[in-house]
Amino acid sequence: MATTPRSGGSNSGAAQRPNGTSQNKSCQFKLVLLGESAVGKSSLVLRFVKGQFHEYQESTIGAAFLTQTICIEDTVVKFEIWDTAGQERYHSLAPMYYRGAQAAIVVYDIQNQDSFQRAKTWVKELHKQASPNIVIALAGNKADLSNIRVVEFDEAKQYAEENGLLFMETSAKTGMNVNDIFLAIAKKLPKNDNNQGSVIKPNGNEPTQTTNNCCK
Amino acid sequence: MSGNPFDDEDAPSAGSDEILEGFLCPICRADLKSIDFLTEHFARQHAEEEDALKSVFKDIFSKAKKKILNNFEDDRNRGALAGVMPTASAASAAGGASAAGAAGGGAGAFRTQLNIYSNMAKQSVGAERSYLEYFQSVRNPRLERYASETNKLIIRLHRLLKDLPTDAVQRKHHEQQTVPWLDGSSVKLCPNCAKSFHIARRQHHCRLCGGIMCHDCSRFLQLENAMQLASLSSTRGEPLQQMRHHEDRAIRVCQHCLWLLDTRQDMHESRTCRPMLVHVYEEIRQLQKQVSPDLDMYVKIVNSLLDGESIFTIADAGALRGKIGQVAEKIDLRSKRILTIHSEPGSRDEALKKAIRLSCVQAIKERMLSLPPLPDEALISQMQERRRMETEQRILTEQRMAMEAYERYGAANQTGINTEHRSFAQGSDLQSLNNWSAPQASTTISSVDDPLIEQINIIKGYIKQARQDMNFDVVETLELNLRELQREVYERQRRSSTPQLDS
Repeated sequence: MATTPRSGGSNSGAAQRPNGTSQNKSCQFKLVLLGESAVGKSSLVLRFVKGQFHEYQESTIGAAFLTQTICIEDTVVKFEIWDTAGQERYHSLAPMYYRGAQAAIVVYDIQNQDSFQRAKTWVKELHKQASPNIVIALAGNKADLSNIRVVEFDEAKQYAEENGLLFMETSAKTGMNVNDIFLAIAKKLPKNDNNQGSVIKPNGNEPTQTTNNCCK
Repeated sequence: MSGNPFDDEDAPSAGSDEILEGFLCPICRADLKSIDFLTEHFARQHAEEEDALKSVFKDIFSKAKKKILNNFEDDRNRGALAGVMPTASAASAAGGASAAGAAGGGAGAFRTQLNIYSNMAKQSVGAERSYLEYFQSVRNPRLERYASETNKLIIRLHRLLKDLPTDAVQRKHHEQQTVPWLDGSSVKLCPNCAKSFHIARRQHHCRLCGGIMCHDCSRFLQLENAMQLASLSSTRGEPLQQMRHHEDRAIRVCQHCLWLLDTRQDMHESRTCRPMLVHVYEEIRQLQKQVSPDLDMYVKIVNSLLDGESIFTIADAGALRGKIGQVAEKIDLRSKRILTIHSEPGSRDEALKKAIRLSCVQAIKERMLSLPPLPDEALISQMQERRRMETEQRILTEQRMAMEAYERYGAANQTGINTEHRSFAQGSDLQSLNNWSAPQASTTISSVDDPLIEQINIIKGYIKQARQDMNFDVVETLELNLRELQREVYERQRRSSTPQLDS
């Protein structure tokens, strides 16, 4: 990705990995969460990074920064997650955070039609102003409350397909699809910009080693 | 796909443990504490990380920014944001600027160690100027205006009340004569509540300014209060009491006039009223002032007793000590009472109360409890004995020396001295020298004859009185006076006896 200097800012693998094996590739991605206030952005991230869920998550101030490393095939993917504050008064800060991001999760609340509309405007804004190759995922959160949903799955799905977005309905409370959506993003992200690992290793030989390497 | 990549989620890899939250810079992750600081920091520190195209834009924008800055100092933050992110919508930038104030207090539970405030140079206080004179020049005329308006009302009130007829028609006439009523023919709405006047809502007049209002907007000043305000004695209270209706016993006034009068009364009260605390504290001060000379006196008495002087007795010291103790008790009681006066906890009153109590306790401790104890009676008598011995010794030596001197020069001046001494020789009463001197030879028979002895007796009476009143200063002077007299008598007696010895 030559156009954006920071995209795919992969570290030299040896320095990062505990056991010093240089076989595996390591990538680092900047991911930003956007969406209306109280749709569950912070909860999603907390579930993904710490496996926790707080019923009464406090409103984010400014932005929160977290990291999580996962392994896909033979690649160590480190997410640098910027969880932005959804409140309108922090809106002006958002461009700062999504600028140079390789991935974005736009979150809405399936019980809240307004939040879905807001998600659409976020998608529009990202298409206009974020880096052109940004991977955008649409997450309909609070899927555990699907019995009182307002935003239909199909409606969102159709919108996602039309705009080339990844789409999942998630639940930070139950953990449903939370890891999957990050995983899907990780898979979709280009990992071949790493100068050291040009050859992607076959699937079969790696699972145990991978776990050893990246997650100890 | 190689197995589940989230197996070890609970043990996150190094560096991901901490959650940062706040106004984080997306590049250096420093917490900038506010939207304004963050946008400015981002514009300054990370501008060079823009790509080439954007930097071109930035140049243009920064030039524009400078221009704008010169014109609108207030829009500084907006300009900075626009400079960095030329593509950002103007609306969002404006939102940032306006939200800055509201978000200023925000701080997440997780902060970065870097505190931007500590790195900023402290701003010095700029130019100052006092607006006191201006303030006063505005305030004084206002106060004067209020004062004159209030005075006018008081004067009118005085005239109105001076001989207020009890009859309603006469009263109305009197009121209208004192304060001319405004012509209400063209007034359609109540000037206070803007409700229209009609048959059910009639016009009324303020008896003090003549202004028009409706009944709902009228206020009533009770005649008793009005009398007080006009500083008229309420001797006319009885005829006023006879007025049947409640409204008759009051004066209809407008809100403004009533407010002026109320304000005056409040000010008057606040000036004259003295809180409980002040009363009690003044009592304490009074007591302390009173006891101060007693304290000095007591020390003096004790010292004099210890020196073996007989001006004061041990009973004097005891009595004075008792008196001081009583005063100390009173002060203690009053300072405790001050503590019980209600005040808001943590207020300045509270601190004042505590300070008063502390100072009282300290004063009692330092000045009163530290007084020397009553001297032992045995010690006193011992001291007195010694002093008597010394005095006798001295007198003896004096006598001897006098004798020697007399013998030496006696021959030359014999006749002169003799005549002189004879003139004093009549009254040889020694009654007054009861302490240590010669035996009491004769009784009070001749004392009446001698003015000196009479004087001594009078002084003794005074001393007794002064002792009872614990007026020890007087006791001291009187005692000293008495001593002089006694010495005089003694001298006279001695001189009168010496020639007798010679002859």
